[in-house]
Amino acid sequence: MKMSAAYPFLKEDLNLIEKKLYETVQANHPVLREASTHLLKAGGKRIRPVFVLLSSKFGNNDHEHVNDVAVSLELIHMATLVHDDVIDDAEVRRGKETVKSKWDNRTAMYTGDYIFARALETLSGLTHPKIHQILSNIIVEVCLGEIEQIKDKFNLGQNFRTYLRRIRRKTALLIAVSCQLGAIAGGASEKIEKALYRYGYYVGMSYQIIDDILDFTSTEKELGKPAGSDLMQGNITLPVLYALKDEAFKKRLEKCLIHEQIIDMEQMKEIIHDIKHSEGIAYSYHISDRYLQKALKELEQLPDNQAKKTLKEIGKSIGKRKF
Amino acid sequence: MILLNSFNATIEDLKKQIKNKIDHPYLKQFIHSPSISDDKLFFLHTIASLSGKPEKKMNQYILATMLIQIALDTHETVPNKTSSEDDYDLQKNQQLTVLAGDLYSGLYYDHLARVHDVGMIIHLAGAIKEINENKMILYHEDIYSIDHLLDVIKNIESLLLQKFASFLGITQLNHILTDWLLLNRLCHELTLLKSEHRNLLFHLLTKHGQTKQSKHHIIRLVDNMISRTILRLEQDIKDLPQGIRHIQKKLFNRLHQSFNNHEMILEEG
Repeated sequence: MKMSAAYPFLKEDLNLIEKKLYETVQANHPVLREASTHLLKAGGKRIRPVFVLLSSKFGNNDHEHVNDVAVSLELIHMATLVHDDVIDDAEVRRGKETVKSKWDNRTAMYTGDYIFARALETLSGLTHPKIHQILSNIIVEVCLGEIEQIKDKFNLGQNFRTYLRRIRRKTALLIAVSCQLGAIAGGASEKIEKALYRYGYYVGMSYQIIDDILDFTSTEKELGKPAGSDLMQGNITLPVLYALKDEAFKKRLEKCLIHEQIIDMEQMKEIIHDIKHSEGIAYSYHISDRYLQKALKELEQLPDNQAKKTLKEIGKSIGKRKF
Repeated sequence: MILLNSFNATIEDLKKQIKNKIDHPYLKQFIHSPSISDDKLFFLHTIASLSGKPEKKMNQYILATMLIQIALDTHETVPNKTSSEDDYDLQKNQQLTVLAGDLYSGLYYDHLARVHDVGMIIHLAGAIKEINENKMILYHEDIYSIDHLLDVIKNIESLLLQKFASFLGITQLNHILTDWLLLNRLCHELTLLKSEHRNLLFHLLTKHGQTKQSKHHIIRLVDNMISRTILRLEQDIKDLPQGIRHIQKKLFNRLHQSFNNHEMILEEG
């Protein structure tokens, strides 16, 4: 089942959010306007707005502000992606040319900064200091996480804890905060807000681990990039970490990554093949599932409603997703 | 003299606070420490002092504003062409420069969110938005005259400070700081021109000149702009409204330092 099939009742809200996303980035300068809407047009799961909306259903649902939070979070995520494509020198995202590829790095930098500013301006109606403290803290954490990721590249000496800390900052926190802010903007109780934060956090961890598995197990067509790309870029993910417990494998990988960017591609293909068929994949699924179970357990504290049912379905679909 | 010393000490203290805030051991290994504009700090502090609001609060505002400035300046240094994969250190530098700028932007938001100042957060975000609109105009060369070019540069250089001033209700210095920061930029561009760099300003001035102009003509043109801006600034400082006339001397002293620098540039040329 496609994840979006789990929440048809959000369609109207999501359409409103989509419309507001477009309206918000209508810059005066034509290139800035085009570049800012470029990534929006490529679509995307809008998973953060979905979590905001669902979490808001546990409160008295102040509709206007809930949507503002959802729009702002998605814009912050988009601004990050536009800059990430400069960092990764990426040509394609979501099947479309990246901003940096269609224009250039400079345009991408200005566009990301512009979108970030618009994301903050969208929150002008929200005077609740806690919302801004949470969001601003997460922006800093995500940046620090990305810096850590660069620092950890090609570092075969890292451990599980380093990996988990990295994916926490890279993915889990923003999803956790999407749930938390949705709950706050919707007027939910503190107990519910905390449970939703934890749900989002565990789901985010599970989601990223699955992402890291799929990097090895999916096809190039499904991924939109060659399988094993993360490892080729030096990112040591959970399936690799598991495989590294085998000293012989570790030596092979060390030999393959002769010097950071200089990779023996023939050997690398073999290594990727071996990881794909290793126990590391099953182990990673196991860890992902453990996070998922924790997420589902958090939902038990919440009152029964359609949003709870949907959050449960989303969680389960994350565990089953193929790409 | 005591006042001037105390003023300088405050500026130095602010600089130290900014440096502490952006300090990151790993970034430090790979990217240059961002420069902190003395003139921008000078104006922010002067405006904050004129507002009569509590110093602690004002210093928080100054810190946040400077963090944005540093973030934008950092992103300005991201090379337009991605470094070759072979040059790993250069590539890393480029990647971390993008992230450093993002981090500094995040820190501005975080800093103001901690002191619950939503109003200032939104106000400064408006400046970031407009500055990037203006940067796109300049970068994509959507300039229709030399005056337009100068206006765009003024906006890029001073919108953040103007927004800071308008938030505090102290707008009497806006035209002075705008010209002042334009003057800085022009002096910088002139130095680049003289050191044989074919920069964007040179290109745009050539494009919008009435006839095809040589480098020598462009240098003269920029030089005249600088002289006119200095004269305008002197007059504006003289004409400061009664309520803030007490800062005249401070502004003149600083202006003459810049003027002397400019004289030096001319002589070198």
